Amino acid sequence: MDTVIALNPALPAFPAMRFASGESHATCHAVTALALVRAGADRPAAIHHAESALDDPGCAAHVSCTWTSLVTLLAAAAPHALDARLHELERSSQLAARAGGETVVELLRARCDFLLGQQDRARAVLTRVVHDRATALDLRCLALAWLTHVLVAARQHTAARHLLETNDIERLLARRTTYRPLLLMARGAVHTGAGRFARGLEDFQEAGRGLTEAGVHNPALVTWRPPAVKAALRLGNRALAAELATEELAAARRWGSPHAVGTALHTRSLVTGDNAELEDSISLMELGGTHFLLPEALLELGGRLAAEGSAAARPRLERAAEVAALMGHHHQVHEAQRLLATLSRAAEVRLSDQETRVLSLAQSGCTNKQIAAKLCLTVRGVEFHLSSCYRKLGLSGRRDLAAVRIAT
Amino acid sequence: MECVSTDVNGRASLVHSGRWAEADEALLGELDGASGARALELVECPRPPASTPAPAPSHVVGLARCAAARAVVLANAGHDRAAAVRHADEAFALAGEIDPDTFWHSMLVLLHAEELDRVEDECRVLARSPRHRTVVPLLLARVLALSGDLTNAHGVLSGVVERTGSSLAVAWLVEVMAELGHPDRAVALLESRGLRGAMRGAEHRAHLLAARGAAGLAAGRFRPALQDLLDAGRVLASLGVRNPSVVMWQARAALCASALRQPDLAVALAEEQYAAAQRWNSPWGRATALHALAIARTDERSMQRLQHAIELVAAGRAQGGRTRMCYDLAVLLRERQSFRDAESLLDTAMQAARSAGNVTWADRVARATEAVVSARTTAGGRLSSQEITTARLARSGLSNREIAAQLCLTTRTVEHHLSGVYQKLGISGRPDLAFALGALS
Repeated sequence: MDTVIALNPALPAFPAMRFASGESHATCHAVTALALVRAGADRPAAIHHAESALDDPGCAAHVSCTWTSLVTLLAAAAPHALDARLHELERSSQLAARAGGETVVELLRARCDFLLGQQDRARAVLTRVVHDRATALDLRCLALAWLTHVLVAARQHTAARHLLETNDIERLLARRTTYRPLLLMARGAVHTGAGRFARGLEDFQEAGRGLTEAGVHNPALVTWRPPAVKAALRLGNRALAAELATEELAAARRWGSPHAVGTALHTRSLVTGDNAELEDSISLMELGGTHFLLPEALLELGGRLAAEGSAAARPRLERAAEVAALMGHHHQVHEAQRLLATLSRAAEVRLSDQETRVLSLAQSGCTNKQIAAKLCLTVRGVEFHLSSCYRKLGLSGRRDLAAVRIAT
Repeated sequence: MECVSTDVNGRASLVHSGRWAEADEALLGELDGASGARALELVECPRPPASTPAPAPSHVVGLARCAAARAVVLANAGHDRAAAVRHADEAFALAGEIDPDTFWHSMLVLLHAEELDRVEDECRVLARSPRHRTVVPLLLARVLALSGDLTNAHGVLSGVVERTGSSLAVAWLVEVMAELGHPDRAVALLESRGLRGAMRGAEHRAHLLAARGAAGLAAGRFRPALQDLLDAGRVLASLGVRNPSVVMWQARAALCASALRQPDLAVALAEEQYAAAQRWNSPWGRATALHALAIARTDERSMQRLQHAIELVAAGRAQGGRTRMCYDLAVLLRERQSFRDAESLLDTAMQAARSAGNVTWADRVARATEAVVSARTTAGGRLSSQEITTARLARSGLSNREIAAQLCLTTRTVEHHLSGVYQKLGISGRPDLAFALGALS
């Protein structure tokens, strides 16, 4: 095997992707957006160019331009803008005719689904793309990496490992494709999930080196340092963890997306133990709209506050349970409930905002469906909150509600 | 408590799974098919204060209400101001004069689009209409408030609150009182109506939270204000309201975060408002966003942003926050030793404060003017670096003893620096530091 690490000039610049030959512009809004997102500075300009490219009929005809623009919006943490574009593209038949066109939209939608907690849908789409031999290799590598993350997030480590082995990860990594850093991140995630922190850390750092060599300085494109920090902490290497965490925060601030900065602050708070940083990270994640890491941060803060015996732990843990439930992260729901149970029970039972709202509507006679309509929730969400109320108040059902008085 | 939406489960789960565009499309589709009379109940918008029961709505009224509902959806989404205004106009033309519900919703959308003159004109025409008796004063008061005529706004809103008890009127009154420089009275008003704590279950909760946040900001109680504003934001997001011109919360939250030395949060909030303001493209929305951005990101573009903000406000009718914008730019100019420019801006700020009737700000501006004049005329008017360092630490909440420990000074030296700072900035104590130091990072 060739052990010389050489940057293959024939590869497109990450995260660009090569589609059918003749499918690229010399210079256009998408090319500018690509440069900006790789450099990791001036997020507003990057968004502007991405949107312009998507509006430009010349660019819109090229899948590579569409891809670059959409990835820019993803990295810029502009979930509403991205959703609007995906929706438009899903409705139009413009891309369907182009090789890779539909897959590009499907993959990004799957990634958004994952980040917003729709694991099952993401998993189905990504699995299909991974196994579709007719799809371009780069796209399948991307799908493979993202699918691995879905499995790891669901704590299905065996399945994740199996997935990588079946798809010959070692051979893929030896081939130096454009998406090698992502594949390394996937393998690293499987390693750390199985407790092999040293090997995981190696993979994460190699991914980081590859990205830097390829001229990618934006932590929002491939967030490699946070998992590396966690692995380093598990290995007891605090110095490395601190160094990486600080680097990540600086890079994230330069790019400026609330999600990237929030993640970086959360990561650093693991090293510094600083609750203020953790609070900030939570505020930023709540703002950002992609709540994927929110339960983890809330559990961390809730856990710390609970250990101090602080009453502020309760609303944090309740919010963690709420968000985790919406995402189907059951292990996090259980962890939150476990921590809540350790808090000393006050004489006055504390309900969360949502629980109070749902409870008072139920008391006034609304059905679950009517409550869902009023509060813009799903019926399942209403049921979740109500059963939480019953449990906290020691009630056996709706009939008992009349006896309860809510103090606002 | 009958609910009419046909596919709420579907829409709610679309919103939760991030398919906002699809949810909006579904809602607009529903409006197409809905029995027009109930169209307005499908959309997220404050209800008008209790109005006289209307006769069974005719077909035309149904169409008008659909158009108004469509305008509301577009205003909440915040992408296309022109389209929102078109639908509002259409609704008004069809049945604004006969149906108070249509009138209320179409005028609200026009308010969000900053068509203040238009709203005022229509309100004056219908001022005597018995059907529109409850909605016209409230809309007019909001026009007055946004135009900077705070004293009259206060009068009209107080009357509406007394007559109807509308919590939306309360929210708007609280904002006016905060801008007039009476934030504590504003909070007292809320409490007297039982609106305290998290205000769970309150009608128009987002508006109330945002208003209380504005009062907290005005009073310098930044932490609870930030909490209120972020809570307002969360409620609004869950309701699909993404347009800061509907309820202004991000810019104010950014100012709170800046004062609390949480720069990451301040920048994120200000950038978000700025991006949204660009999309909606109304002058005052953009101006407040630019102002917040200038404070959150204290860099070489701050001055430019503040100047642009002031220009945008000067050109339009909506005047909220103008005093503060001029004041903050004046502070920046003073830092750069451009004393004459600072003075002239403070003059503008004083005019704005006076015409708004804001005594607190008029006072602040007067003292800042003295300080600038003295800085211009005596070299000793400038802050030394030790004084600046001490002042910043004091602003972030440290006590004299903590500052002394951090800077390796005696407490007495810290006190000395601080009293020098107060004197040079023309303020009387710590609470005013956040304003007086302005954009200093």
